[in-house]
Amino acid sequence: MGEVDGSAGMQKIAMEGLNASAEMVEVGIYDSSGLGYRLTEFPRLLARDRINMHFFVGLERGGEVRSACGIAAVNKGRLKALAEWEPHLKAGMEYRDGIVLLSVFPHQFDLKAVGFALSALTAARIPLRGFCSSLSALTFVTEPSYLAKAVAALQECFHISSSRTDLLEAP
Amino acid sequence: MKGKALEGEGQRKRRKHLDVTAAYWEPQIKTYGFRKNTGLLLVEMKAGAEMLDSLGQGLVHMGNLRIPFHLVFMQVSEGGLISVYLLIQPEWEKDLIECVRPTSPVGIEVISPVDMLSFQGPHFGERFGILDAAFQALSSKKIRVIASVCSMSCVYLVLEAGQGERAASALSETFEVPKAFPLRS
Repeated sequence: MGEVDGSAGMQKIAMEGLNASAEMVEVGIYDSSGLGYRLTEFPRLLARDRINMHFFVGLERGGEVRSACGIAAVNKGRLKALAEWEPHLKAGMEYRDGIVLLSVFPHQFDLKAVGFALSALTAARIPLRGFCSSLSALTFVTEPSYLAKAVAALQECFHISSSRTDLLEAP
Repeated sequence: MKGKALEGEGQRKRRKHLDVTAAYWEPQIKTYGFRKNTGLLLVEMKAGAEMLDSLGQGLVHMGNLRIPFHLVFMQVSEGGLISVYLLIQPEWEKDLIECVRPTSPVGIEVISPVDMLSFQGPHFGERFGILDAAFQALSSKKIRVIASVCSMSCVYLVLEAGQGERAASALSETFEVPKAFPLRS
């Protein structure tokens, strides 16, 4: 992974770009009933009403399921109505209005990039709701009011090519 | 790029209301191909939110040793406890533990050996039902999904060790694997 010298002589990792998503709603799902297959039930609920997930992170372990997903704010009401028919899912669902996804790319499967970003965001006191990797990007879940500060924090550890640095209006 | 450009009220409003969706469905969902990784290790690193910096430093140390990851994701539990999950090749287990142990506030646990399938497809980031279709295909063959991550147009499925081949076969009934890009390991 390419590294360049930063302003204070600090090594920065070269990244091609950074983008931010539209504001969305995070839905957290937690279930500890141990009944199994709960990881698959929530995506089923969304698919039934043609609701897209902009991100999803889920894990089923030791009878516990914990997932988080991002949906467009406009779909929150529809999801709440759907959940009324699934009381066992509804009981473990939690909504958090106003989250955004901030992505930098490419990570090149380098843990140093993950560590730098995590440390930089923590030092800048950015509330982090989660993160995940995809084939190219590292995507961080935070709050819209912290977006500019989070971008500045990431620019402290990454040299982001200006030609590819843009903030998109949708994921 | 100027961070303050993000603060404009007009932009904030647009960010709030714009959503991109693609509402089409195919009898067999097109993909750009599948990738199968078998015999990986699923590792959990756990720390309080205030110790996230130590966790970050541990990851930097691993990066310096050139330990590559296949997938990394984070979850927050009640009480603000942070869990970072890593999928790595098993030969890195010892190095990984040595990297994290000195930063004592971070707990580390090797959960289990796993297989992983990942795939991408056209407009997957903007379409409904892709993950559900994958889950249904696996459920129908009684293949358990331990973890899943969807981000951008990528879908990751973490499975019990030894299930990768069966899962790939199950998914190929629901998803179209292009002949030019067959299953890669």
